[in-house]
Amino acid sequence: MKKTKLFAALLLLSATSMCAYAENFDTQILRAKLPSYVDISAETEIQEQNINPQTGNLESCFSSVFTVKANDKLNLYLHAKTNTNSGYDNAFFQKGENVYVILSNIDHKPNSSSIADIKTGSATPENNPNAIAYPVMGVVLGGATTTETKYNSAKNQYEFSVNPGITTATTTVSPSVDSSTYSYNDRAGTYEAYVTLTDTTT
Amino acid sequence: MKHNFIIFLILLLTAPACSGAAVLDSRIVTIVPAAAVVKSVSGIKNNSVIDPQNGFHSGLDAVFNIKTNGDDSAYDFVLSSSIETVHGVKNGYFLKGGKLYLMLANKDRLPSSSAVVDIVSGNPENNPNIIAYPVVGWSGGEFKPQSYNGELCCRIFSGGQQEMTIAQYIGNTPLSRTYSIEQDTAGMYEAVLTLNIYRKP
Repeated sequence: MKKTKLFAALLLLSATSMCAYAENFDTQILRAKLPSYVDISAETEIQEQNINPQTGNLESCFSSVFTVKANDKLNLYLHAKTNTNSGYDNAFFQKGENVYVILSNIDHKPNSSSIADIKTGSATPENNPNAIAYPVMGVVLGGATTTETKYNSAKNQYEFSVNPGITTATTTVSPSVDSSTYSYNDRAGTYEAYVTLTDTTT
Repeated sequence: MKHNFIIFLILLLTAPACSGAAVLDSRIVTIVPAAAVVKSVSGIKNNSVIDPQNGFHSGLDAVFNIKTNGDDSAYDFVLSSSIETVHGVKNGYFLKGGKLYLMLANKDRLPSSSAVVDIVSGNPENNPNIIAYPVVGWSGGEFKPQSYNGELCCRIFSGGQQEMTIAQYIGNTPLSRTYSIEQDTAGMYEAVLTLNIYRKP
């Protein structure tokens, strides 16, 4: 019985040694580079609010939501701009610990001096007609990215980096007006600011 | 006396036979064994760029040159593929609906083997850092996707050719649901193709 098993084992080894073996081979690597890419879309292109003409306050918060699809870790920048008689000006500015956004009247464009007055931090309503400032409550990130945003006061922009995946960036503007920027000097009309999220710094 | 005569007669009769043995033909036999060599042919279509918006690549071909003095009866010509994952090397080929596909894996951020399983399952949903493309054609020999030593590969049949340049063409369009901006991170996506020539026993 043991001899039979030994014979079977030898037969198996013999059969194995007769299998095909590689005479020659070569390899080729197929490579395809996927570059970094980010796709940014705004949830709502235009948000509208009514301003209480007696107080200058908004009806409720502005909430600007961007969806970011990224295939790499990327730095992103949140800018804001508002229109004047002299062209667009940066709408974000910092006063003390708070960041503000300036909305300007598109029907009666303010002079750039109005914007400059507001950005001094010690504005007087008479000196900034047709421009109104509201505090920014912050930019909150959700999804693939959980780090916090930082405000760059030198460039007047929010800065943050996103991880690969989907990130939402929500910027909330308080309805409470900066009282030093609103008065009856602000003509009736539509007040606007553009908020832009981009991978290009200013 | 009679016996002596018989012995003499026998010697006389066998003598010619002995002399004939001295002039036997001498034959020289030289055996030329079957031999084969394969060489990868590099070209611009080894390196491609993927459009991040849709996953289309700019062109990928695998090209090899084979020289042999044997043929299909002496060898098995086998093209196999491999990709790297965090759980080791996996086969880059798979079949879906009878069609052959090749997976490319992110070399900079290795995929999990579960991403391979997801794609090979036939209903891909969650396969980060792997993109699959169809094998859309070949030239230089007859290709047949089939199992060899338990692995899916491409058998190549020379049809008796002594020298051939074989090419496998990878389609530009990714298999649906194997590419997405959110899942497939930027980096270099790779598959290693190996052409083995196995001598038959």
